[in-house]
Amino acid sequence: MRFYTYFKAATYLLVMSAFISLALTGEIESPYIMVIALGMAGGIMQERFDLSLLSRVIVMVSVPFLLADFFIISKDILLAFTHLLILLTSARLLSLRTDSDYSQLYLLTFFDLLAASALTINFSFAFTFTLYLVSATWVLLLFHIKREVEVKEEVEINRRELDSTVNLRFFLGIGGIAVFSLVITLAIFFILPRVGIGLFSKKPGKVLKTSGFADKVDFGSIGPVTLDPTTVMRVELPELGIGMGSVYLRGGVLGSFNGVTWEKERSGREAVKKEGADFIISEGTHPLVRQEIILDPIDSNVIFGMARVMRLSGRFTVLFTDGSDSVYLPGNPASRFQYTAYSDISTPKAQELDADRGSYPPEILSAYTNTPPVSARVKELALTITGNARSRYQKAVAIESYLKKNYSYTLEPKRDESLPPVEDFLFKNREGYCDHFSTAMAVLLREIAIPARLVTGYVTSEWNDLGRFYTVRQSNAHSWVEVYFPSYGWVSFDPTPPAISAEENPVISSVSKYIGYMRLKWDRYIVNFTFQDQVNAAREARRRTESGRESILKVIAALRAGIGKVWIPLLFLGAAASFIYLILSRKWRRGGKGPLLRKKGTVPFYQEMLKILARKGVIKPEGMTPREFARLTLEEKGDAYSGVIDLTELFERVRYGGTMLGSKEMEEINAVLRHLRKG
Amino acid sequence: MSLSQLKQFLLRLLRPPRRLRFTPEGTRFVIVALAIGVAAINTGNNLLYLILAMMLSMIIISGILSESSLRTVDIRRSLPREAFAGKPFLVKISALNGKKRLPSISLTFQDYLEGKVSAGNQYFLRITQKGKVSGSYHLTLDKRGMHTFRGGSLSTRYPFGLFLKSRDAGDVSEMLVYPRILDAKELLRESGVDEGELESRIKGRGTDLYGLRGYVLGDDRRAIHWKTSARLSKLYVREFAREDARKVMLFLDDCIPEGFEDALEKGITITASLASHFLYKGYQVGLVTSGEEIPLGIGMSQLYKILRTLALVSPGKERERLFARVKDAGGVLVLPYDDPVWKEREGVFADVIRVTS
Repeated sequence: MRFYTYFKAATYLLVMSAFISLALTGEIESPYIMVIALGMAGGIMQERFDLSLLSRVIVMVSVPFLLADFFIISKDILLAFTHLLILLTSARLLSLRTDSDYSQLYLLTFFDLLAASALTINFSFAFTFTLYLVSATWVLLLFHIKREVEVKEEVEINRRELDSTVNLRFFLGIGGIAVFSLVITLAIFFILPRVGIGLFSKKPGKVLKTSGFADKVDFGSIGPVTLDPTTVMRVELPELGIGMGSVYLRGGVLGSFNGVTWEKERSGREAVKKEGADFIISEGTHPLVRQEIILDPIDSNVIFGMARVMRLSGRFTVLFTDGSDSVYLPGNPASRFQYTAYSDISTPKAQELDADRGSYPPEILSAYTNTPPVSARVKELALTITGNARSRYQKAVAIESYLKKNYSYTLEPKRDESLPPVEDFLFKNREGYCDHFSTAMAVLLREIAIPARLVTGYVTSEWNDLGRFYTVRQSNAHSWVEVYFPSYGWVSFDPTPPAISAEENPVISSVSKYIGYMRLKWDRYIVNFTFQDQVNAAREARRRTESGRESILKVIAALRAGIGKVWIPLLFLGAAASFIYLILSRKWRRGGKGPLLRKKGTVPFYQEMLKILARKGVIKPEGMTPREFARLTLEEKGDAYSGVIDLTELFERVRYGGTMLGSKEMEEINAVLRHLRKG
Repeated sequence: MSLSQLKQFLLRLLRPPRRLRFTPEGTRFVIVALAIGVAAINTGNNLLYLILAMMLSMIIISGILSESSLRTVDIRRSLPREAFAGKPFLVKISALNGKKRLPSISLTFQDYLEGKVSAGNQYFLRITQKGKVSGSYHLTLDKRGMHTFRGGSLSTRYPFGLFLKSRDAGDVSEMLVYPRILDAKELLRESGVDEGELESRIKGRGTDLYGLRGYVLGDDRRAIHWKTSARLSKLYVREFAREDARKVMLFLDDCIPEGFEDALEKGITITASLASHFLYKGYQVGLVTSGEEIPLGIGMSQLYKILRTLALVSPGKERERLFARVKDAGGVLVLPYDDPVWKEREGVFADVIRVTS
């Protein structure tokens, strides 16, 4: 039977969507994925073979297994329960006999989806959730009909009727219901007030390993990270709305270098001042650029932002700064989080920097001009490069361009262990990645007594014009140099030449842009949707309503001014009259359709019925009364043609009783005729 | 607006047009949704909010679709012309979907008799837009008399089986249920009356042809006058001069004391069965009760007259009518309650049937 085939297909689709949602979390090990696959296969086989014993055995061993899983294998309560759910769902699939079995299976799939929601925040959940919602709509509807029909079997629901009900139109209808349900789901999701209490903390997300943002960074540690294309951050620039080329996202600052390791020059940190919802890192007069940043959990507590971050807002309770304009969380973030950074991205002009001849503060000199134990040829090189430069700025630019021009970028530099790393880079191998270039520049500057320090962060130019945001990947990890100018403070220089990158496939690039866009929206509006977002949306709606009302008032005012006061009421009166006319004319038209069914001597609908029946092979013999013919039709064609009796009765009323039929009867006649035509 | 109109208006307001009830699945669904709501608030996990939103959307969709299914569906009930107590009959239910664009899916019409006694139900899987679907249910009414179908409820669990939504539907209609008709021979035997003796006491058929009359359903086919029937293309039967000899008047003493209601019912059944028995045998049969009298007559129409009267018999108070007709009766007296007042009158009857409990 077609109905039951569809019903089972829908059930398996639901189970599959629940299983996929679990599998895509990345937390389920391969043996359980095997169990899932076997469960699905067993589910199909159980229709031919009795697997109920196997099902019972699995259920019986599942509880001891849960204990073993929790105490010995996974040692994680959530994972242990997820494994148990996989086992129970698979077991239930092996024995599906009664409605109660199906109910239990649906409940288990629902818990599978719940478990997946606790295990992941990835975009993959959006896909599986949608699939689950669509298949759940389908399954529950068919399950309901199945149960109703089976209960009412004493009234002999025609099985053919059941099959004919589940046609293409029916499924299009269900599809419509599913889409409608999805729309309402999203609407409710955005409306539901976010009043998180957080008695139990969320399960930490998967933390990205990175080694470039600690307080102590080994020379060359950023290199391996730059091979990893995992997305670590998405940065929206809502006010700018366009990409700015390459964007530097500043993270930590390292001032002390011993030839092998960079370290922070100071370990003391102080809490950032909070004003309202914002944390104020420093005050300034320049316009600030707002960045909406979604940061994945990394094993660092640095807050990233463009250039000099002046203000921050987000779900922080406390933030710290160390005096080098870097900002830190109290600990490493446990899960993906979102914040807003306001940065001063203004840079002094080259002429201004060139003209800066001020003297350095002693604390700057003492902290940022120390050089590591390197040979004198490093200083000689610095002096050679800057021989023609007259100002500190020119010296810095000279060193920056020298490194860019004369050294090449590679992610696999050679290493001569007999030489200190900086000298190895500068004089022997002459190739490296950002660490090498920025360290070399900082050391060269320090050799000629110009304060310089290393900055770690990310640099990206991957602008997604669809979603209007920058994607920042692990491979965008970068380090560059900040040089101190007495009148302007720290100014960035990047001595690293651009890497030669392989040309991107335009199709892949476009697809990845779309995926990136969807991911951003998912993270921004689903995973990180907050009460503040709801407040903002409400404010925006209010603002739009007000502006809409103002526009209407303006139009009315203009009309008043232009046409004069008398015309306005007349206009409204005219509109109201037209509206009433339309309503009435519709009613009259409907009334006018009153079935003057009887032409002279004939009743058109009865003639029409005879024509339809003749086409179906039931021809009214001459001399047979309408009633006899109705009975004959019923005998030949069955109950599906019972409408013929009704039409015959109506025919007799019109033909012999001279009755005028009303609209209700007319509707009935049309319905029966339609049914007969389809018949 | 008068006071009574106002009262009716207020009553209408207070009585919601729809009734909603959780199904067991619906109750579980709502409990799980509440639990997820608590979990979402507690953890602040937006994906839990998303799942909660999905569940709430399903509740909303249930409300919208069930309403759409129930709305503008007209239920009509067709009752058979005749029904006998204890015998099943079919009640035809038609559902007409008045919606122009949307079908109605999975509706159940529950029909009720007076006192909200379930009469039966009819399930409609799908009623196309502007379409009509009919079905029927079997009903057996054990009691004779006038029965009222007080209208029923149209309900649906569509689409997800979470809630049972229902509204009033169907009109009020009345139906007369005739008394049970059993095998008269059997009944007579049970009452200790010999059928042969009874018939011999009610005199046999006459022989002199009195005239011809039109055939009535129930007439003895042996009496058909074929020649005339063939000539006039209509069935005619012979009437005999001593037709009066084939008359039987049934007397039912419905004046019973309290506690004899069952006996009266049994008496009515016996009377109805005897009427049917004799009418099918070609007798002229009449009926006298304390409140009604049906003169002698023949055929099916006479049977239905008698059945209709018997269907509506209720315990009587005065026996005047019965006593008045006794002297020229020569018929059969059915006594649900053996009242001594009948002792002196029993002789005039061909037979007296005492209802034994």
